[in-house]
Amino acid sequence: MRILKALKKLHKVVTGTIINIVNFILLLPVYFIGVGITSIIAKLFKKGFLNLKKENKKSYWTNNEVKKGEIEDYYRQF
Amino acid sequence: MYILGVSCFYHDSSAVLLKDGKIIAGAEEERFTRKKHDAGFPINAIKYCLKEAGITVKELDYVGFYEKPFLKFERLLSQHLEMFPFSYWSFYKSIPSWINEKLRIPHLMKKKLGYKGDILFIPHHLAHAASSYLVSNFNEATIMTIDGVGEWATTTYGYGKGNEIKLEKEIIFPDSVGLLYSTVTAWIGMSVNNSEYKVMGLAPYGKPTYYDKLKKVIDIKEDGSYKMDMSYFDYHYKLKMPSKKFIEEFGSIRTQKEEVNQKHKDMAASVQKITEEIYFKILNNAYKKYKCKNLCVAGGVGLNSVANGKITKNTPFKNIYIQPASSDSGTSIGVACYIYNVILGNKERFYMDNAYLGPSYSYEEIKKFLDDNEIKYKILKEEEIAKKTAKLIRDENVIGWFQGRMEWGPRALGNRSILSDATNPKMKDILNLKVKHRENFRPFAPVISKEDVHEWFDIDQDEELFMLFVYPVKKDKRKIIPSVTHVDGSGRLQTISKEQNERYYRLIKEFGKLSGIPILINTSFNIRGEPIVCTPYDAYKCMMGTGIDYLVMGNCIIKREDNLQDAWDSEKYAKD
Repeated sequence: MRILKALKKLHKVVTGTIINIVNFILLLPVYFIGVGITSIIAKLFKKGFLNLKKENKKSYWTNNEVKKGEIEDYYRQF
Repeated sequence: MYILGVSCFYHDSSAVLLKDGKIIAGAEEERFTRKKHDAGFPINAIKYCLKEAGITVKELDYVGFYEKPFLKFERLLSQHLEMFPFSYWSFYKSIPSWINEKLRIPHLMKKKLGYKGDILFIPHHLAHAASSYLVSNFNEATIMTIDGVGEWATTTYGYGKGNEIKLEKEIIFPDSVGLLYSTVTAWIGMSVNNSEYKVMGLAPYGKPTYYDKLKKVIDIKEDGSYKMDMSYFDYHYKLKMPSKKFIEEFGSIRTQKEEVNQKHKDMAASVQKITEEIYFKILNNAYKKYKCKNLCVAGGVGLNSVANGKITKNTPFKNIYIQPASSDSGTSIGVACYIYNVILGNKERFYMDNAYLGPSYSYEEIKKFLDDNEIKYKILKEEEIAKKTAKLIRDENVIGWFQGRMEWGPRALGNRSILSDATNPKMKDILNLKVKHRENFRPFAPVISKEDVHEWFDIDQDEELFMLFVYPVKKDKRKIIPSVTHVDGSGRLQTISKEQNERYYRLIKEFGKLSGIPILINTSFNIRGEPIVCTPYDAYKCMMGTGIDYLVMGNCIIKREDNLQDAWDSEKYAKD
């Protein structure tokens, strides 16, 4: 039993490591090409994705655009 | 009609089942898997809900999910697009789970649950709002939701009337008072999405000396809206919260070896003051708009019982309702009720006046467990339970109290509780030594019968159902109940009535007869770092791993000393 448990643990560690390595390699081009190029182009056109700028407005509230919709609107994941 | 509400994949996964608009079962996944704040798919909680109703997956009419996953993913991608090339590590850590699970909810429901029917996706803060308003006893109310972050929104306010909910204004990511609180929690060296309540407990020991410095980090307007200076934070692109600039301004992050010192206490007091300021300004602004004295609060920040206890003094609101699982776990209630009442237009609403939605175990099941495991115990007659337990508590014993259905939400409310004598000045130390091993600054909470509460506490409500409000203990009573009086003279109390939980109520009354003081310490029944116990096995294991003297499980009473063959030391395995 102990040997089986140890083997199971080892299997988990090995598969976990392989998954991590594969993910790391696969996600590198996705990030540096996919996200990177989009980000650079967007920055060239001064398009921001998060509001990180310092502002001094009278109020920072924005209108909530969520309206009560028909049931079909809630089937959507967006 | 059966509607299942589900929340998962961020923290505190949960499931709730509605039958014809009534909540008949609900539980957090952590209670079954024994992993605190378990974020995984709540398959065990769902199975429990279906078992409780005696139905199969095929009989579900709708399943509701607690957010719009694609909108949340859009926010995540926006963070990486904005912060490229500095966010790779966070990208690498988060994307696989999105591809495998979070963007494939219908597929997961089919694969893990065998559910092929309709799934409705409710925006996160709307689910929060519904989780409080739709189960309150108000026909109209102002609503405030405030948490770390949902899809984009972090803070909203609006109005509920009849079956309609309208959230009108919002603050969006990255500005988030919840994440500011979490950043300070991380800076004090405590775990994020777990230990924020400890920071709240630490606050009264400090002075808000960092308040002015924190005001440089967050700009708060008179209407309660706020904007944060993101150069002090890293959470929008890294797996950590405070930035280098934050550390330069406030000092280094506390390590685990380092003691909590005055600087940490002052910082806790300062962030608590900031949070309260935002809280009350939003509420006063919302009141000006809606002129309604009823208030519903939801979201993780809604668990800030210190701020909640001050609402009526600092705003015009008179009646407040907060659902016991105010944070993300509670949104499964929100989605189920939103589908039933708002989307399907059913007028009759469910009023949630107790939190007992979890599994229960019959006398036969408990007896079988004890007999099968050769555990020594005695059976008490119904009329003996309260008297015998009250006497044991009076004799300085610590009692594990396991009765009826498990509570919904993070608080033990008298069915999975550890109980002891609030009048004993040594009891806080005894509890910490024997069971809880908590940080010394953290207070224990009192439970009192509803009719006695005004005699002991300066409370402006008639009852406090879910331990979500901190109120001052009356000045002349503080010395009488030292173990539940915090350093600032307050207590996070629970009131109990006969109708809500008769056995628990009778115990408190019996203790009152013995001691003259109808108040007990009520703390959650768990090993440090583990979720609250769920089953008889969990309860027995907890007693034998800690110093709980007696376990009162249904009608059975188990003495630890009689079963020392099963003793173990839970502290060797305890986590934060």
